[in-house]
Amino acid sequence: MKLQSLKKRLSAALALAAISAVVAGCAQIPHDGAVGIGPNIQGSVSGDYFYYSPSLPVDGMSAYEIVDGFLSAGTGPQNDYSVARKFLAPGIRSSWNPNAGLLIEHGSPVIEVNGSNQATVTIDVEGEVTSDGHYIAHPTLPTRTLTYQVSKIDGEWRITSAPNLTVLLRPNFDVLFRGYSVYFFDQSFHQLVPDLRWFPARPSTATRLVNALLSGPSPWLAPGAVTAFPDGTKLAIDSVAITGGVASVDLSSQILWASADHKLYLQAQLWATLKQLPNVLSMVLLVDHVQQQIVTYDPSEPAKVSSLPVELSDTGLAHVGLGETTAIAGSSGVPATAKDFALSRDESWLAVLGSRGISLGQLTGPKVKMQLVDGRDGLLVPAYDSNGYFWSVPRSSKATIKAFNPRGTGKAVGAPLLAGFTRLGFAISPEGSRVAMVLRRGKTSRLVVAAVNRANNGDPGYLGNPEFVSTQAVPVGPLAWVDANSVAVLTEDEGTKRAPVIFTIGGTERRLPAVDGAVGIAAGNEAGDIYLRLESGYLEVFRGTGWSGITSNSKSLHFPG
Amino acid sequence: MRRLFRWGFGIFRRSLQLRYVAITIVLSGIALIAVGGFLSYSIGSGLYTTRQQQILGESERAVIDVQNTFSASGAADEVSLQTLMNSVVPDLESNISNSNRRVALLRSPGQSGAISLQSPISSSLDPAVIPDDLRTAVRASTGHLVYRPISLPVDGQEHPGMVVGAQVQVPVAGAYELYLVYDLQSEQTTLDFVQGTLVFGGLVLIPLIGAVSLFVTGRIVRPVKVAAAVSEELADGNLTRRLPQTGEDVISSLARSFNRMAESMQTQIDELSRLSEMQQRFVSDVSHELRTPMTTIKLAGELIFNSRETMDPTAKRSAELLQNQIERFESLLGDLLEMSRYDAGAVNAEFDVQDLNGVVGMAIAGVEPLAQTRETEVQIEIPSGPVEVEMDSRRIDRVVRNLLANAIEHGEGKPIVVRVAQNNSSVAVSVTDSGVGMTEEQLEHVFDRFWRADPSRKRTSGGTGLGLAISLEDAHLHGGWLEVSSKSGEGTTFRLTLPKRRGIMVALSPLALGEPDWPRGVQR
Repeated sequence: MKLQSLKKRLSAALALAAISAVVAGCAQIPHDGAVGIGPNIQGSVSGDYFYYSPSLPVDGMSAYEIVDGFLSAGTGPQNDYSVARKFLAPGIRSSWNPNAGLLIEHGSPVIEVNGSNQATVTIDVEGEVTSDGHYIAHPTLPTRTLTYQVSKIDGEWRITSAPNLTVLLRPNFDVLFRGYSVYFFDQSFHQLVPDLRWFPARPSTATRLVNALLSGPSPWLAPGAVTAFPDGTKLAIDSVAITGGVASVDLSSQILWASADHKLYLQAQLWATLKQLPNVLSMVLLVDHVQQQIVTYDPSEPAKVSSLPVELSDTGLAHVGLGETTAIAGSSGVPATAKDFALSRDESWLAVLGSRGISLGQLTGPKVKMQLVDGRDGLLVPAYDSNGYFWSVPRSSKATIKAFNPRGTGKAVGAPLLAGFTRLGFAISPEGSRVAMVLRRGKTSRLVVAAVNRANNGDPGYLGNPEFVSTQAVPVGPLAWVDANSVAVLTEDEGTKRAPVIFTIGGTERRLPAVDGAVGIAAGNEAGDIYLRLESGYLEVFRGTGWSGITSNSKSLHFPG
Repeated sequence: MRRLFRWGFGIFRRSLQLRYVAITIVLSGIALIAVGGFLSYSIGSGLYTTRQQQILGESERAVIDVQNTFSASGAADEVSLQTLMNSVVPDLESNISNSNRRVALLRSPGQSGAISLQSPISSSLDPAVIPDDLRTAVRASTGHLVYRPISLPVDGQEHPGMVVGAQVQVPVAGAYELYLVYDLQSEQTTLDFVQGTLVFGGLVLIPLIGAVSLFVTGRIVRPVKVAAAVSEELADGNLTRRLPQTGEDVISSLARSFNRMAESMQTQIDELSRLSEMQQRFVSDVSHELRTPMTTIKLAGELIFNSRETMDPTAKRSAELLQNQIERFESLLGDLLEMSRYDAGAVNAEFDVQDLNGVVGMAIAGVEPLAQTRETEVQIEIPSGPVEVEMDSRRIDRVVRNLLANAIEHGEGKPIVVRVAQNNSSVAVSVTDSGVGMTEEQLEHVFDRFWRADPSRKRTSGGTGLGLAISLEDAHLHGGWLEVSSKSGEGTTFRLTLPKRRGIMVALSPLALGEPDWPRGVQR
């Protein structure tokens, strides 16, 4: 009967069950398998920026060509100067440190190979960058001689001894290197003080910036700037990796000894320093590989009342805008004899330089009442710093610089290393930790920056070692801080023309077109505008590429603070 | 064992319910295995795929982190580079959510010139688990991850594992290969648990399914069993028995049809039996009614026959013929009456214990004249002692006499053997001739009424055609058997078997029925 078909059906079902059982048995996590291709990671890896790709050495190159090729390969920092290292003998390939120094050459180097396989390279140096990123300008183009030792290795010339530096032409330097500020604090931990360093734009820039930050401010800045990092703090891993916009800073355990406030400050320093890098969007702080909570602290300058400069005219003080001026209330009481002035940042205190000296007044009532505080002769323009002190600087090298607190109490500021210089101009930086001065000794006048050391209560104590800015320009006297990093100085030009030059502290200079009859300079708003005051009382403002005039009759022009 | 199997198979074949329960269990077991296998397979591959994606994601982040750390490193000397490299392994290992991740940072072979750093690996990792083909693939890879599932020995057990590799450029030191080795045992454990649950569920479900199907088939089979029992009763003659019919389903429709069938059968059977009864009464009435004129005819015939000597030869011959046919007619009428008595169930038997040998002897003596006429020898094989049996001797005498007459008639003069025998419970008489015998077709009809083996044969013995039918009724009246066995051309044996006492069931006849190769007749 149907038994036969039933049997058939049963056996088919049994076979199906057996297959299922086998499949079920196989359903386990595999112990073996083929090699698979995973996701692409190239895009997320921070690669080197390829600006130049120098040539590798080829067989049969002469000793001259090897040295020349090696110097040219200084344009290729990618993969830790792997191309340049190919020119080196294997013995020194890994010990050669290209980050220890950089010479900016002026014109091509002269290479001579003598009989004892020694190559002498003569370079006119325009500037140099030290291992910690300090830029030193050499306006006089001194000649530097470098010595390389070459020998034949496996039939090919290779360099067996080389100084730890690379050589670049100025245009290549401008492309490969960037100026980055390393941020410290003023002594009251209120505002950040930048310290400019130069590093090649590479994935390792963050590491070098953090290392520069950890090693402290430049010597000249040290009296006026402090760091929140405890002594001896290092990177736990000598690498600040940036992945997906997040910079991981792994510091050694000394951090843990810092006070809670200092931890806040050092994070602000790190963040201010790292956020300059275009690929950093946030930061992770680790101590010995353990992630720390980040508390944001954003120190900033006290806000200014206006972004416009203030002029002194016969009618008093007024904000100068384009085409219109706005008088400052109460300033009509300024005596007509006033030659120059300084206004505190909040525009509440006024210091006026008159024929008898500097008098101080508070802009509260309808008419300000001025009171003489410094009656010495030959005083320069007074200057207010952001802490509310105003500085009275005598021209004479023998007289002392004084700083007056808001109550009008003056105190001498020591400047031992500035003795013997006649002071032509004085400006204090926005955060008040640095001063820029134009000094003259004999016939040469020079631009100088120095740190301001302050007492615990904020009173300025003394000026630190002056840092002479190397330049070919001859400063006349008036100067103003453009921003935290740069100073605009009026310099001599043909005849009565004066050219403002913007000096970046610790870096390069930029010369603006000369203006005939310029006698005063003002700068310091967020836009970085430079204002010139002409002898005639006219004002010129630099916008983009050229000067544009503002009709006025000002005796003096300054930004408050 | 084999007997047990056969016993089990026998039950299986006999019980519909058991068979269907078994089929249900087997088929649903197969379905469960198939579904379970599919579930287990898809869960397993789902687990694996998910974990693989997760691993690749983690590895991607880890490799990018490591490469960025190396790229960002300002380190140029061996000490700080080695420190940096050493930090990579614990860094990746210490990832808490992936406690089973192990790391190896291996140097790609075949690099000259660059400084050589030690390759750090996780302490619990044997670098031999990283397959060579993966290392080759990593070296050939350009900016993407490469992975491969492996078998990972952990504490002497083989765990499923996964290795993900990527190239890492270390400044100054050159190309390295970063391998992240993951242990997938937790996924395997999960999968094992799921499979265990599925198996357990299946083991619970199958008896449950068996119980349910037993219950369901029981509900279906019970009405069928009832129907079978009712059919049995109907077959036994209880024509009024009916199936209970409730509801509207197929079972109740079966019951309705069954009951209708039983109803119509009962009607027809009643009708038939009424007809049959009418027929029997008609025969009985006809026989009785014919008897009275028959008696007159017989008396008149005897008168004529007695005075035949006075008649002319033609009339004498006619008188003899008349007398002969009257006797035949009377005997036929007697047989018919006897037959109709049996049909009407109005037979009164007088049972008493007698010696069968005597009855057989009397019967043989009764047919002696006929045997002499046909020159047939009757041989007798009887036991020496009396064969006592409770019987109606008149009827048994009639049966034996009838059998003997038949044997003589069809024996063609050859000797006839009469045997008598007994055992504990029964006695038997057999009459065997060596005559023409019968074909199998004839054997089927030998006990039919008015049937003759050879219609053309001379009716010398004056048989009515009812003899064997009446003999069969006589045998049945005694609770015994009358059987025939014959072969065409060899002879015929009739055997009468009777119980020794009324009410005893005859189990085995003491005498053989003809020759062993002879066909046997079938009693209707």
